[in-house]
Amino acid sequence: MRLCSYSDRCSGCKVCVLTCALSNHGLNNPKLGSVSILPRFPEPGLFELGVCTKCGACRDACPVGAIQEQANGFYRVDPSLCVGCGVCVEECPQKVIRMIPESNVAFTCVGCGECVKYCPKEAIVDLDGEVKRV
Amino acid sequence: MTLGGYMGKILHVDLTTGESLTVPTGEDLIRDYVGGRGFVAKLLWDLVPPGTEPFSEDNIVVIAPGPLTGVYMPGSGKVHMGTKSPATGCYGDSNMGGHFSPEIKYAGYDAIVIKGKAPEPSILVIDEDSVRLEGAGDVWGAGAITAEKRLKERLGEDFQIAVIGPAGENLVKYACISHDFGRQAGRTGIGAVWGWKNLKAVCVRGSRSIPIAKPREAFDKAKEMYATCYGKPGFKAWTPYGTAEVVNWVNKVGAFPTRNFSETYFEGHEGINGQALVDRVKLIDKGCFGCPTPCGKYSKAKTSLGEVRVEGPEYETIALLGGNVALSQIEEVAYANAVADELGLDTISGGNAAGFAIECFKKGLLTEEQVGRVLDWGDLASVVYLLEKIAKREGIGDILADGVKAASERIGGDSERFAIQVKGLEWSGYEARWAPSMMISYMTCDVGAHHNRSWAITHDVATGRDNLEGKSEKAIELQHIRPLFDALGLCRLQWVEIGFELENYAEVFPLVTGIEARWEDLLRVSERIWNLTRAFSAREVDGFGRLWDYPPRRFMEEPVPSGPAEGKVLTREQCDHLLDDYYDRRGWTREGIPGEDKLEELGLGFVIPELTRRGYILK
Repeated sequence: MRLCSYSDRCSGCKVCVLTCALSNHGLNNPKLGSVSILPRFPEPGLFELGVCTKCGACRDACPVGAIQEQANGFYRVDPSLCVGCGVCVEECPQKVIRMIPESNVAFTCVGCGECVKYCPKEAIVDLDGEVKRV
Repeated sequence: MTLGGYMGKILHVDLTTGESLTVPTGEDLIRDYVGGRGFVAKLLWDLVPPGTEPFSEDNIVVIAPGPLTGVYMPGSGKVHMGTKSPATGCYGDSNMGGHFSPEIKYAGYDAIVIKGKAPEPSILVIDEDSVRLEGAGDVWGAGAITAEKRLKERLGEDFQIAVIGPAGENLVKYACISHDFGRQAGRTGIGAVWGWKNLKAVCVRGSRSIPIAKPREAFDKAKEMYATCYGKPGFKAWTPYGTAEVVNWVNKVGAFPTRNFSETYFEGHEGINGQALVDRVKLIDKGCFGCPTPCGKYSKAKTSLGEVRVEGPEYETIALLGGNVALSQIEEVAYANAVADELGLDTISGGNAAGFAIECFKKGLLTEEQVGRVLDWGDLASVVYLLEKIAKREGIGDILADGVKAASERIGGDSERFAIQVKGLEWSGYEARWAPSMMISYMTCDVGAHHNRSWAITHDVATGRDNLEGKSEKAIELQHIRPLFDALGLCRLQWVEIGFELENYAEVFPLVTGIEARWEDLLRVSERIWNLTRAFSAREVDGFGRLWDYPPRRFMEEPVPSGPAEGKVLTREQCDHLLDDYYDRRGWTREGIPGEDKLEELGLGFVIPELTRRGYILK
């Protein structure tokens, strides 16, 4: 799966981040979702939408080697190694890494595809077509 | 199982002292009033001393999400705000979408209650447990959109901000609360109460998770709800146009506000309909929190007066700042929309005031000298001039700023006949001379002439528009269903516009909250709230009752002059018939006061002593 975001389709509804937080953390909290939505109002009038591009910047930035690539090409933070320093959060160019407050462990997009399934506007899509909106 | 959906506390802020405290969200309050509009109604009854002036330290503003607000499900972004209305003197409330309401929950609160008056222009900052008043600084005097932008720069993009414009600061009685660069709690003048209290903005940020009683089941149910929405034909057919989609239909059935409601079909409506919006001005769909079908359209429009970016125009603005002032180009409506938004004026009441003033001018009841210029139908410059004068309370604007009812009392002539309002609140976008169920809905709406408690015009069209039978009954049914969404903290448009079934909400409520309430139980709560808001108005307004429920004389005395509804009128006798039927079915007296038996039945016996003391006979 390769995620792609279309800012011109995003309505800013946050369904993606809520779906993500519930799917991955079991928490009803959109601030823990691994999608970035930056409102740009009143000018020019759109939401800048960011998703994981599998660039690997988080792995490169992690000072303790806690972030490794998975078979699907997305990255995973090993909770037993993560020290909660937040460097990956800062370095992620898409701003999609979150610190989970309960554990103080970083979490980045693992490519579960739930955001693709539930985005009403199909603003997040899988370029490989493996996952589609329900 | 824990109680879900609630954050467990209500924040009380005293602007006079700057102090705040929290109290637990009471179990009785939750059981009897659910949240949102229910909390607004009960807290106003309990905390506003009888006879309080709307502009006074004792009047309060309640800001209340509902238990389903901020929870994963369609349309969970709504907030309800209420106060003793300066527009009507009655119970007043208004509802707003966007992202403000979920943020209140994430900050840890089920409601915010604001009283007092800040010693200087201020903003209220709620950063979870940190609650503070700050000087408003350079945002006082600024337009609502400009102020929101500046506050985001000052505090951080992740704050959700509700703000008033100059109209609120200048106590215009239909000043609104603005949020998210184009969402408003528009009605009943809550913005003026903020202005009187020196409160420019409420800025909220939170990071908490909302507890859910049965998390797995609620999540699965919500995903099913989204999938159901995506499968509805209206999901793709309605969403691109949003509420503007209905412009053609309302004209076709002869109910479109045109030239201050003197007509009900606008010959220029194709220039301001949903298609014109999509083809000519829309940039993107802009949604509220959790919304699968965003009705918001963010637009860019160029006119002879300049270029604007604006959220909208949605249907009500198209009706009142379009047809009602005879603007026939969507760009011009968008421009007027942007002006009203920046000034912090409700576009419904503002469009009424502009249409009323133009009609007064055309009839010679207002002169060029009084107004300061010539006014004309279909003239954007006239409309913008009036909106700006109103917001600044300058000249003619000072008269119009009190609403069309009060303005007609000063202007005189027979202008009271075409001051289109009920209870002092201006009429929204559905003319009702040939829609009796819609008419009784407007007449009896608890805040004044507003459509959203009962949008019954489709029932009129479906069941025959010339007979009165069953029309009050339908209005009552809808007056319990629709405001229930306001108590739950949800948007109703998925149900209204794409046919998303009500059963879904009944199923999800116990999963989120853990409260085993059936839909009938929730409708009973809604009926309780409806009777309590009526009792509040009776407590606050001398001699309140039937006389406050009539439409303007234009609708009872002037047959529609042309168009699909030509010749139609609802006489005073017909309105009386509708009212008698309505009161009887509600268990109210023929004077329109909730009866003792009904109050006892609903658990509202506590209001009886106050109403009796005020001289009402409840038998």
